[in-house]
Amino acid sequence: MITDRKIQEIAVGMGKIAFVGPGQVATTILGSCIGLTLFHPNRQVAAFAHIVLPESRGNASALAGKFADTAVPAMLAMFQQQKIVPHQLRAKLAGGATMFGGSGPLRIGLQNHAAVVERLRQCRIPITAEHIGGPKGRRVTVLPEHGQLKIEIVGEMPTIL
Amino acid sequence: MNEAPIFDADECLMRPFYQSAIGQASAALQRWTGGRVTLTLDEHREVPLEESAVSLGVGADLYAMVTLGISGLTEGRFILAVDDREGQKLAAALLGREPDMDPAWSEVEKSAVMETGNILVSAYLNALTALTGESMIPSPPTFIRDYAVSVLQQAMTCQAMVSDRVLVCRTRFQLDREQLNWNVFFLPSDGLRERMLTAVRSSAQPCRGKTSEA
Repeated sequence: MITDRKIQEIAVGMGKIAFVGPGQVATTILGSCIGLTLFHPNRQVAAFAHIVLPESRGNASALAGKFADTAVPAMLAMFQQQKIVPHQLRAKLAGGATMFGGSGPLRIGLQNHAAVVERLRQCRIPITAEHIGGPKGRRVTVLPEHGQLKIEIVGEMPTIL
Repeated sequence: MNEAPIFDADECLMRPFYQSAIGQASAALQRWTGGRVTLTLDEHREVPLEESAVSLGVGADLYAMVTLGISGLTEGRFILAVDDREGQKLAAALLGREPDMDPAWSEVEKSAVMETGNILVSAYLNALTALTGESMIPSPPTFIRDYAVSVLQQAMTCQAMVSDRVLVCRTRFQLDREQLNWNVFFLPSDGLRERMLTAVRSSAQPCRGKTSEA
C-alpha cells in the first residue's frame, strides 16, 4: 500500500534550533555556519542547530543556537525532555564553508567546525558523518526518521550522509 | 518585501548618507552602462538574524554574486547579487553583443559583472571616506554563483558577534527603466557602523519620516 503522507518542513534560521520527529524535516542553507544534527538512532528524532559563531564569550543572545558553546547544551536539554541522554546520541555536521577566502574572521567556518567538534568531544557524542568546508554554500535537509542529512550544492549531485 | 522596514533614530540619521552614496554609485554606473542602469535605495534596516533569509527575500534562489570586502576585509562587505539570466543580459549589453543562450557564465561575462561591482563599490566607498574621513579601499572582486543566502550569512557574521540583529542596506537596479532582480547588499561591520553613526550625528539634520527612494 502506498501512503501519501504529508511531510512538515521546518525552516531553521540562523541561530535557531529545531527538534523534529516522524513526519517532519528540518531545512536550511549554510554558508560559513555549521548545521549540527544530533539524532537518536532508534527513536527517529533529531535536533538541528544552525550555528553562526564558535563562542559566546559572555555575549547574551536570545538565540540558543547562535554559538557552539550554547547550542549543544540547549540541544541536550531538548533530548532530556524526551528522556534521551547524551551517550545515546550521534552527531552529523555540515557547513563551515569559506566563501570569501582570506584569513581571520573570514575563515569563521573552520573555527565554527572546530568549536562544535570540541563541544561534542566533551559530551562524548560521536560524529558519524560530516560534510565540511570548501568554497560553496549547502542546502541541508534533516530526515529524522532515517537519521540522515541530504546535502545539496549548486552544480553537484545531492549527497546523503 | 514581506515586512515594513524598521527605522530607529540612528537609522533615520543614516538615510541621507545612504542616499548620497547610492547617488554617486548610480552616476558611476550610468557612465559605465551608457545611461542604461540606474540605482535606487530600496531599504536600510535591521533584520532579526534568524529571519534574515526570509526577510531579505532571497531564500534558496541561485544568484550570481560579486563580493568585495572593505579595507582588509574585516570592515564589512558589499554583495552584488544578480539573477542569473538578467546578469548575463547586462554583461552582453556591456560587451556590445547579443545575450548568450548558454546558462554557464563565460569568463568575459564574469569579468564584465565583476567590473560593474568594482565601479559601484568604489563610488560607494568614496562616499564612506568622505563621511568618516578614513581612507577605505575595496578588496579585489570575487565572482560566486551560489545560494544568495549562504553568501549573505557569512557577510553577516561580523555583526552577529555583537547583536542578534543585522543592519542591511539594499539597493535596487533599473535597466532602461525596467526593474531588475539585482540587489546590492552592504553589510558594515559593527565597528564601521558605529563610526558611521558618530560621523552622521555630528552633522545631524532632523529626520522627516521615511522614504524608500534615493
